[in-house]
Amino acid sequence: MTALQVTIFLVVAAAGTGVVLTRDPLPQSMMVGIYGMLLSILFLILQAPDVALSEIAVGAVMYPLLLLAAIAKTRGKGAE
Amino acid sequence: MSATVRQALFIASALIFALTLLAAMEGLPRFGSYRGPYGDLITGSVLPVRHTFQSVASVTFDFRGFDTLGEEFILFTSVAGVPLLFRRAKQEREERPRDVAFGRKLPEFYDLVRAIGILFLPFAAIFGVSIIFHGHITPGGGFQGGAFLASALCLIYLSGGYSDFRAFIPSPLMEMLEAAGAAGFVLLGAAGLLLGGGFLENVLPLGKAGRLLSAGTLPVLNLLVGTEVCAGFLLIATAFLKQAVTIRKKRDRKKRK
Repeated sequence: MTALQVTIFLVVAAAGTGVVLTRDPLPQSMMVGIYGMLLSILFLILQAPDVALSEIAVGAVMYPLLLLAAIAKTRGKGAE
Repeated sequence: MSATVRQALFIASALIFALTLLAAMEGLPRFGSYRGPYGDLITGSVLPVRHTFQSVASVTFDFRGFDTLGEEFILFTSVAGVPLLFRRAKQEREERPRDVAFGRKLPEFYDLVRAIGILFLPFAAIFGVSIIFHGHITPGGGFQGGAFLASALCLIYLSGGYSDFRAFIPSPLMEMLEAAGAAGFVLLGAAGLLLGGGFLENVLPLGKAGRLLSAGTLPVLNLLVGTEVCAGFLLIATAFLKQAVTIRKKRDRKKRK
């Protein structure tokens, strides 16, 4: 394993822990977006650019967007 | 069961799990080493047999194209299911679209955010389209490009608002595009059955490797998948946004009086 690979593994592990430790869904949806971004960098470093592109579009953009909409729906004033 | 017993049970089972996991990992090949026969076989044969450098796309759309067909229909089914789940219930009604924030005031809408969104939209959209069209030459392909294009078009909501988003992305058109993408994949597969003797057989001319029109059915399948994925993602985003922005519970009038 090169130093770059070790670094990105550690960073992704830290970001994943960060997602779990963020308890409020609103900042958590942002954290999960950052985690998706870092995960796509991990895939890129492991020479899987196809997977990295999927991860960046789905994990870093679409998933947080849907989470935000769901949070706005369930906890917004409009829900009552 | 008391807390101490539960904790003891957890520690004991976690220990057993950790030990067996470690024992199992002992037998794994070293990090980065590869022992299977198929990888070398495919990277070696993909250029002479399929006239492309992209072995990943060749596997997903050619050699194992049937698996991708299954995945397309998983997406198709979930996209059909989301609007069904998110339909307006009896005790709800559609109101004028308005954004809501919980427990705080709506943040002020900055023109800068709007401008950056509008500025980024064409570049992001072209990038998505480029990934779809070059799926058989460079990394990426129909799914990645379609998802990217859909994310780019979501910038319309960010910089314009819900009404602009619905106007630019009409659901009936998206439904048609999504169905056309899925149907096109099946029809192209059936063409292989008629002309070549196998479902999803690569029946189109293979062309010169590296050209936009090469690798036979690969670019066509990428385009079809890109259409389906982009339209499908936008339909899901529309369903979520519609719920969050316009559908509200009917106010109970009797209770108020």
